[in-house]
Amino acid sequence: MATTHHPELDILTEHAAGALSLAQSACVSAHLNFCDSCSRTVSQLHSVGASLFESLAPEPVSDALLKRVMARLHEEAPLSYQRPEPDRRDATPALLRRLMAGNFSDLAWKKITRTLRTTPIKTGDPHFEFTLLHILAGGDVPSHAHQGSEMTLVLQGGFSDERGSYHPGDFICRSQDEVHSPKAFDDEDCICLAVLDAPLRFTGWKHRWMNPFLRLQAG
Amino acid sequence: MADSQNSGDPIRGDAHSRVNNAGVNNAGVNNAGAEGTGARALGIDRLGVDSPDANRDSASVIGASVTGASTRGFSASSVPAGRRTDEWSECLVLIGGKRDRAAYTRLFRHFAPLIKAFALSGSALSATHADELVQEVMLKIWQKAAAFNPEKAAASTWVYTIARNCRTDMFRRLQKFDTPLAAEDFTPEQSDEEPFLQLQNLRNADRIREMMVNLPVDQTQILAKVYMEGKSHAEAAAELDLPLGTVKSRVRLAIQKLQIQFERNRNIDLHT
Repeated sequence: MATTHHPELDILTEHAAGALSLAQSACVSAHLNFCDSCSRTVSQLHSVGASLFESLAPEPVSDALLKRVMARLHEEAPLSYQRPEPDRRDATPALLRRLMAGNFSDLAWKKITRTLRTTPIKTGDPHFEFTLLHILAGGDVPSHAHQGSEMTLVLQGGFSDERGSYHPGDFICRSQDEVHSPKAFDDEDCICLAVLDAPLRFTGWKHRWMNPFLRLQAG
Repeated sequence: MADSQNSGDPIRGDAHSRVNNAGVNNAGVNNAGAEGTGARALGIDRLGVDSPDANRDSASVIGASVTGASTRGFSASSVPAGRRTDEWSECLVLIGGKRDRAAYTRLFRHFAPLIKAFALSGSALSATHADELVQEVMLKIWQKAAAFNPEKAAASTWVYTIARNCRTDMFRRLQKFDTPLAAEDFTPEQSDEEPFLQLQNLRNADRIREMMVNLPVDQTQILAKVYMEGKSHAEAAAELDLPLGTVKSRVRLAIQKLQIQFERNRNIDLHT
């Protein structure tokens, strides 16, 4: 199924320019795995960068530098250039599999509510938390607001909230102070990726007591 | 055309209004006997600049005549966009297939000064780091050239992508990010597209290059901040003392003028 919710143009542009934070860029990149249309946009946005690059005013480079580089041409390329063959059976984006170093079931999930479990994934981004959410089929995430921004990408199953329904590959960006209460579809557990720059704030009376315990886990 | 800029002038990072000093450098023609003119024989020699070559006799500095003696800051409407790319694609193919050092030297003289300018854009990197980046990018070009496919990408886009990735990785190294990811991991592997789509990609790239020249300065200025200086829209807004909404709408207008298709969400624009 084609994805129906996409990153806004400004996010795609920042992603293409390398101007987005690491964790957010990883989330956009994971969306591109699902979405041919945004991939094509990003590839054209790269051309914009290439044009600007070509029209930069050249900065003089010394001949000594050319000599130094020529002297190093015999060096072997580091092995990291070889990428693994993409596994067509696995819909999980390669970049995410690399970060998780395993499958969803291998991760240390922490129970938040009866239907919600989470696990932070280490990306190295000091400012943004990169977290997987697992919502049981039919379960909900307590109504919450964001102190910062939240990017969400559906990886498996799906959920709906006040604004719509979301399926694998759908990308949602919520800004500060928007309250929403997502609920997973009834027939399948939902796994999402969330990228946050400030902790969530639960707004419902039942869960408000948890707020002091919700800390941003960037890194 | 007046020679209005000198080396070290503030045009750095101010990428609009010129397309690659194309079309003007007579010195490049004078020097045409030197190695490396072969691949340039695409009927565009007179336009074809390549001023780094002009500089070979002055020996110590590549690219100096470009910033000094050549004419810049003109409108490049007479340049057949997309053409010049072929020269560098040919170079890359020679390097990838035959490990051709002469072609590599040519490529170096053209791109190294651009990579250095890119490194210094927004003065994010010191001069030492900028030289380090030039080395790193140029080495990667040598190592990866065999993977370059001229049917899939323009040479300049390919080189720019490597430069951007290396710069991002260098930033993260300098900031001591502890991450298992390299910048190139963020570009999903392109599935092998049909020849028709590949051709369309190349045409899109040509069209974009042609149309970039016609963008209003206020739009190019922001694109340059985002792409060349690696600033977010919010940072660009702060630096230019503009509301964030204005920055975003200028980018959007520019992208529409360049006829780049993008998905619009049905929801109201939550992001502005």
